[in-house]
Amino acid sequence: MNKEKKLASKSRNALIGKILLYIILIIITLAMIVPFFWMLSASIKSDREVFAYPFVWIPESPRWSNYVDIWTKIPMLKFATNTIYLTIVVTCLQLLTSSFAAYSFSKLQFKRKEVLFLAYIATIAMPWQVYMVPQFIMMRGMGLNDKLLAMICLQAFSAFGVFMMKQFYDGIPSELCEAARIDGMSEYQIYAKIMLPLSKPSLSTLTIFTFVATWNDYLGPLIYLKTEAKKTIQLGLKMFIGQYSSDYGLIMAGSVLSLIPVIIVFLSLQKYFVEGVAATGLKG
Amino acid sequence: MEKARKKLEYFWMYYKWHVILPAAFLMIAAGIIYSFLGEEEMLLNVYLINTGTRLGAAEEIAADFKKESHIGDGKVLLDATLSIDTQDFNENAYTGSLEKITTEVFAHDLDVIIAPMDVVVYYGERGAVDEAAARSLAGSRWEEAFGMEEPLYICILNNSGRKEMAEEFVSYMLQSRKP
Repeated sequence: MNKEKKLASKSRNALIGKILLYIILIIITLAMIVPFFWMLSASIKSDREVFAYPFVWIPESPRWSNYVDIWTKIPMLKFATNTIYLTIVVTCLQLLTSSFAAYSFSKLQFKRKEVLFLAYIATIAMPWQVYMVPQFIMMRGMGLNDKLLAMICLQAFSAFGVFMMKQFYDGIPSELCEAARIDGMSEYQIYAKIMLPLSKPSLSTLTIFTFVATWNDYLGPLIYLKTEAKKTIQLGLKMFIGQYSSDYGLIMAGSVLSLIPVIIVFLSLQKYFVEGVAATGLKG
Repeated sequence: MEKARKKLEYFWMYYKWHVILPAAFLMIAAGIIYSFLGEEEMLLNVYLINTGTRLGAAEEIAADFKKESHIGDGKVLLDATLSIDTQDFNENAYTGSLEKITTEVFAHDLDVIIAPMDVVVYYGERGAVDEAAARSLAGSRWEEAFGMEEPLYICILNNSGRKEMAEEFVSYMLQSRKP
């Protein structure tokens, strides 16, 4: 009888524990997801309705014209083209340079390898504001002022990307590379035919991080891009914020549209992202 | 049809990167060459800080100045999207304007600023501008474009590398309103 009572009490406690856990998870999920729904709601409202009280999730007359106006009030198509071009080129270059460098740091032997790696990784600790002025002067000296190429040159190399890829390559047995060398493969062939196919999870993770960072980059384009024809989406959205008023409906509509490619990339690569996080131990 | 499909599959399986990578490289190279071709020299860089400039007005002013000064080739840039808070510097973390202006000033790439007096004083205290030389834009030809909720002043940066053009722009802006 005592045993039955104990079992019943245990299962009741487990149930209460589960209910509490689910309540906490629901609260956290709502806290994460409510701002997104607020953004969607604000994107179909006029300025007055956005901050109106009491709050209404779906307005009486939704203002779908916000999604049309953002393309006509500012050259959003040009901004989107620039952003897509910049993001794709930077992502591809970062994948290439990071995986190349990580392979050499992980699988090749050369003098002062550890010192060089440490020095490269140490640059992550330096705040960008420290070197933004000399970097700008250097880019201007190269004739890259007000050019997308300046952004590409600056972001094509990433210490974080090298670090992450090296972590993954360290987990791949060196015996694979040694066997390939014995079979007569060059270092490039070992990188391209053995290491690269095996590193899909970490490449997918790096793709997501780089894509999101470049797509959402605001400060870099703000400093290096001056003419309107070269600006990106984030700078375009800033144009709706005036000194005395802001067009929140249009800003939110633009934000929803700029979020779509990021969601597509994440959903496409999410399976590899989880694998990559598990393999490298990094969450970014 | 079946033969063609098999050939295509074979090609895609073994040669896709031989096509994709050179095509991508050519596209990037074309983009880079295009960005350098027809690139105009920067003649003047003006920042409008904390002004309520209406959308499109900055481009109108730049185009009109180029026309009146008979400037042919060359870029005259007016940026009216900048705002800084001279009282609460935490606010500036959201806009990035302070970083942009600081970078341009130290790089000698900024020529003229149009701003309320508190911004002029802020940069005057740091030696970037001469406060005493700041001129009011009240009654200026472009007064309506700025809204003029508070008085705006125009001044040349001390380390501007294009002083002559900057002075010409200041004279242009100080001209009275067109009838």
